[in-house]
Amino acid sequence: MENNPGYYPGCSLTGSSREYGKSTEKLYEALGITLQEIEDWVCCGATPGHSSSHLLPDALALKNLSQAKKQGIEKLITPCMACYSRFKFAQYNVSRDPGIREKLEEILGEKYDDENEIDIVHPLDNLNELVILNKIKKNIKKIPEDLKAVCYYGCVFTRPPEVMGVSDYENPCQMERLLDAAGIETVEWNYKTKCCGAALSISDTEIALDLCKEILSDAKSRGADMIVVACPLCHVNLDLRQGQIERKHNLKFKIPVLYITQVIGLVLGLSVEDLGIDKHFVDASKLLKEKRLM
Amino acid sequence: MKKRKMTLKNKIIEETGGGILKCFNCGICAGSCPTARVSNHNPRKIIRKILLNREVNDDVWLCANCFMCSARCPNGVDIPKIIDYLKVKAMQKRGNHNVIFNKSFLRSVEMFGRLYEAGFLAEFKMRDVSIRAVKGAINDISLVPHFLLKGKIGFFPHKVKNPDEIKKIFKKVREVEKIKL
Ligand code: SF4
Ligand code: SF4
Repeated sequence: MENNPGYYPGCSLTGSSREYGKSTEKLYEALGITLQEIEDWVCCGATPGHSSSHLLPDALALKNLSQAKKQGIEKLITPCMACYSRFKFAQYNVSRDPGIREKLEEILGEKYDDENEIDIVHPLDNLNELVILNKIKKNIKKIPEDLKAVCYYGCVFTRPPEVMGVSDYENPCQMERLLDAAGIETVEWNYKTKCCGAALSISDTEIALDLCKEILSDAKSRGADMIVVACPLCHVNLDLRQGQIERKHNLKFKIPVLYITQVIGLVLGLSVEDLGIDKHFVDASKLLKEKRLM
Repeated sequence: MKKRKMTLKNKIIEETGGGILKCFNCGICAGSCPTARVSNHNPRKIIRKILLNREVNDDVWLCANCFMCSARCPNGVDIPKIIDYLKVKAMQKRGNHNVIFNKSFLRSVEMFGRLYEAGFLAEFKMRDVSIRAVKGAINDISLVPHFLLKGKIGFFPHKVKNPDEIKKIFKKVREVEKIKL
């Protein structure tokens, strides 16, 4: 039997995006999967890390992976896209560049162990594994009525393709498959993997507001009732800043933005409070009541 | 043997591989770049200036690291890696709000092992006193009640059990990479 998967929540999921962390934990609990958190995990460094040093982000990632190995973790569930990307990059660099490996080993004071390389997995892929997907299908408690969603993946789930191990970097379908299993209709649109401005949201807010205006406009014009995401930064930019975007561009969207873990949690019968849907800026309750998910 | 002159171009070839030399100036990167649509950022021009040994005075911080340019570049030029090289270089000098942003963030990680959001945001907004920042901060004040009401921000730092280990990693990175951090 496979042992319990590891879990790396990271800073966002324990801070300003705690509803993503909470809904992930509740969803896995409902699916009967126990997540094993990496003890005393450290921050992955996020965008400031790789903009400030070529070695720091890999060093921080390997520090976490080394702790995970001590706990016997073979598969690591990493819901935050930024952390997910940093872990994948670190493994990619250390296994391909002997120069970098040598420096990282010096920094960390230990040899990198190739033998037991940990499988870094995003929930989007993990939930699509046949056994889990079947479990979701079997446990559906609420079937939504005529609910249309667009799936927004953002940048780093598929890019750089060689690092993330994907071929079709402009058209991933993991969320569509999950929503299809949950009885939710997904509509095609133009912004699946286009950028929301990411961390520029804090340092150069106007750029993020302009990029997100395009994303929200396209979602609206395609007739979507909600946007489903799997990244804390995408969520901040599309949900928390939606009011600012509306004011800046003199538009009205009022389109709820939900994490995939919240949507799947809802159809499995978990409550809005347990999933932290009441924490969002754009109120989803009217829509969810109308579509019989609440 | 004649020593190669250490121009920015040669330095980048050395640090990021020779891929940049394959650029044939098609502009697919610029056409694919999200921030190029809403600012004067232009990855093609940055690559061109480097190749022509011109001064690169572009605001590299406008790159959001979305990796669309490199994914679509027909010659596989690793543009984000080259821009990251320029960012790390810019971090060595006193700089604009992006430099302050990164430093405030990493200060928190070095001290606590994790990001202390309230502390980092306060430090960043306080140290960045440009007009743009003041306007941004006033705009963002409208979000504060939401954060307070919904209990979305951590006011106290979560500290790892062994913060000295993290401080050691930062110290070693400074030594090995010979950078300010
Ligand atoms: S897409 Fe590639 S080849 Fe074309 S201009 Fe950009 S870097 Fe050069
Ligand atoms: S990685 Fe940077 S330069 Fe390349 S497309 Fe994205 S924002 Fe533009």
